[in-house]
Amino acid sequence: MAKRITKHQNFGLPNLGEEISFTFNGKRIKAFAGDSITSALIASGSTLLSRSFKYHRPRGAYDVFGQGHESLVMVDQEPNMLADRIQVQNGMVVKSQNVWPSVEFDLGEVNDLFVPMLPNGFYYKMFHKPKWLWPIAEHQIRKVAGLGKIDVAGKHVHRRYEKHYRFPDVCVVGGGPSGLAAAKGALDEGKQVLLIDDNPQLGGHSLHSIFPVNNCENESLNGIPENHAVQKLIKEIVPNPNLEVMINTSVFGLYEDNLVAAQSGADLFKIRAESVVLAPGATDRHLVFENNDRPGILTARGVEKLIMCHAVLPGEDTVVVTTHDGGFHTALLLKGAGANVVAVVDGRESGSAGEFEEKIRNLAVPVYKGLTVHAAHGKKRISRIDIGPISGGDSHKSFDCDLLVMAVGFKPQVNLLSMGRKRPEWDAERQILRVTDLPSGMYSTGEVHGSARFTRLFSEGIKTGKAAAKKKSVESSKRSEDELIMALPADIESGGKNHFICKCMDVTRYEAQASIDEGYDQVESLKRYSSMGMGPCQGKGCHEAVARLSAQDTGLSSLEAVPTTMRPPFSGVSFGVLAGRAPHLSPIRRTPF
Amino acid sequence: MSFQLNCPNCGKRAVSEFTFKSEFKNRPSPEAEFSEWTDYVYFRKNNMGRQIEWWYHRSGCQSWFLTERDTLNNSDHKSFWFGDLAQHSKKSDGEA
Repeated sequence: MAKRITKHQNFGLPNLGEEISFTFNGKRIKAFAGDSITSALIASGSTLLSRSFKYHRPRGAYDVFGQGHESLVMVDQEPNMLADRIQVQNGMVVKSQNVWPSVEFDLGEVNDLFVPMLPNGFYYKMFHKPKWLWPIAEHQIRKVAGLGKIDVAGKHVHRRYEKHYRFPDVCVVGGGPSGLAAAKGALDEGKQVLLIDDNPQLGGHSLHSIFPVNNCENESLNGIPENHAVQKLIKEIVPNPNLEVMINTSVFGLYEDNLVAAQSGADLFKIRAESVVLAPGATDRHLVFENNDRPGILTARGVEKLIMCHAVLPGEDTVVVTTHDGGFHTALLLKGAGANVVAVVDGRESGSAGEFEEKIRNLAVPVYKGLTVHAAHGKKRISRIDIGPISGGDSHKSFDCDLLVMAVGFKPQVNLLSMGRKRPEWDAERQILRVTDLPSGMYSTGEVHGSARFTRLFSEGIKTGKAAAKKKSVESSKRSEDELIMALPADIESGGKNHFICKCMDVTRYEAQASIDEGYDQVESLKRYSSMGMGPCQGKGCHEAVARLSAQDTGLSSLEAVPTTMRPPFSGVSFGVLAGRAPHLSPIRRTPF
Repeated sequence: MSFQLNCPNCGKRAVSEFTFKSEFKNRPSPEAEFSEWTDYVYFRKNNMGRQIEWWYHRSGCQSWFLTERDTLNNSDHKSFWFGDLAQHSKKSDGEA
């Protein structure tokens, strides 16, 4: 069971603020002012946030950063809001959507039983003859399609949508360690800098990392854990009068001549910058295995954020699946919060043990090498998982657990770098999809070029920031051997038919293969036919899995894995924002009378 | 289309402030053949690459001017007044 933690062995817990309450599906939930809707719900013991689009499978929090569709809820009559991103306010009314009669007991779940009978586009195949059947069928299909319900009377519209303009010298997108360093680099050159981050707090993933910082070129950051170092860095640059910081603002598009479009609440920002530095970072990789969509499976960075920023322990008996030292870091944070870490399953066969791996071994937590997760069991919450060899086949062992933490490497957030202009390519050495050449005036830095230690992110960020200020080119990023993370096979071939590639649109590996058999054997046509990567997250979570599995299943090598074209918007944008007025630009003309 | 266009009067502005008229063509003399006038009024080359165009700064200084622009990627365009056309073509000939 999930619970609040009151004390942690490895760091001081944050101050959560005053106690407030809100309702979720009519039930009163206690929360703290510093909570997001998701963290408050997890702390109160609710596992289910929503149901999936097609089969109405139960879904719970997954990445806790608002990347996926799992946290889409209705907040105060407004549909399709990301619970991960919204800070709780007193008296808020939150409801699940796309469920009937309730999220706990959803009749739409029968779809899940008929999966084998519901091939892609089944309604076109099934209802086209006799001719009179289609209008009737269409009416019924329309009823169950879609996610949130709009209030057509428009009664919920109580806000004013407005447009704003900014003209900074350098616009930095992403407020993690590399973004902050890039801002510092540009500020040191005396430029006007605009720093944008989509979270309520600057600092990015460093906020929940206790990796120690060593050999950093900024001496004052050495010898302290990352979360302190990043706070120190923020304190150092934020008072600079040449810096404007926008938090809770998501950049959703990049257009010609460095036009950056960003949304902050009901406001649209059109930013025209001399140079743009992109430091969007990376998120935990999406691993495909049997029942990989069950509630109780969370990403490592999500779990770290819940523990360190919200003081919530999302489960009791935990298994961590990893391929790098970061997974052991998460296990240590879990252990320190009082969780029972049943096992750490490491996909690497050999290699020297990292710093946190040694700490975990000293705590007598069983570590399994060269294995990975094969299947999850349980329905509304995982109850047991099977582990086995990476190549698939038979499972070795089972563990009873209620929390499975996925730390199987990082997937760079290349959407903003790509934006319909440059296609990412598979980098065999770094084992990620990368965009290396950008249009002039655009720069990129940070984990988007592969995971790295704080020290490297800092020095590369400073360099890129300085280059962006001078509009010069910058030397390409480097990664050392110990920073590289191997990618597991995109799908763990462990049998079963519920290997979800795209969780938004409920597309399984089985369905993708069936579509390939029907002749849709290129990634673009496969996407259009099976609709994978076309859900609310627009492929943010799954584009890498889609690219790699499509390449594999259509007989291409992994080097030829190419994701489908990524276009704006990067995150959901309401029509009100795009249609908003700019009253200060339209003066009112009055007669002299 | 979100690039910035250079107005010879106002400088760099968002392209949404401007109106595009058409590619630039030499106006026939008033006595020219009917067919020549028809070609001038109705026919366009639709170049892929660099061409000279008429632009109008609608939401700004409201002046007409010429721009040499790459229709493929809008890269490094040059704007000038109609009166400077001869000078401009001489210069670009020299470059070529």
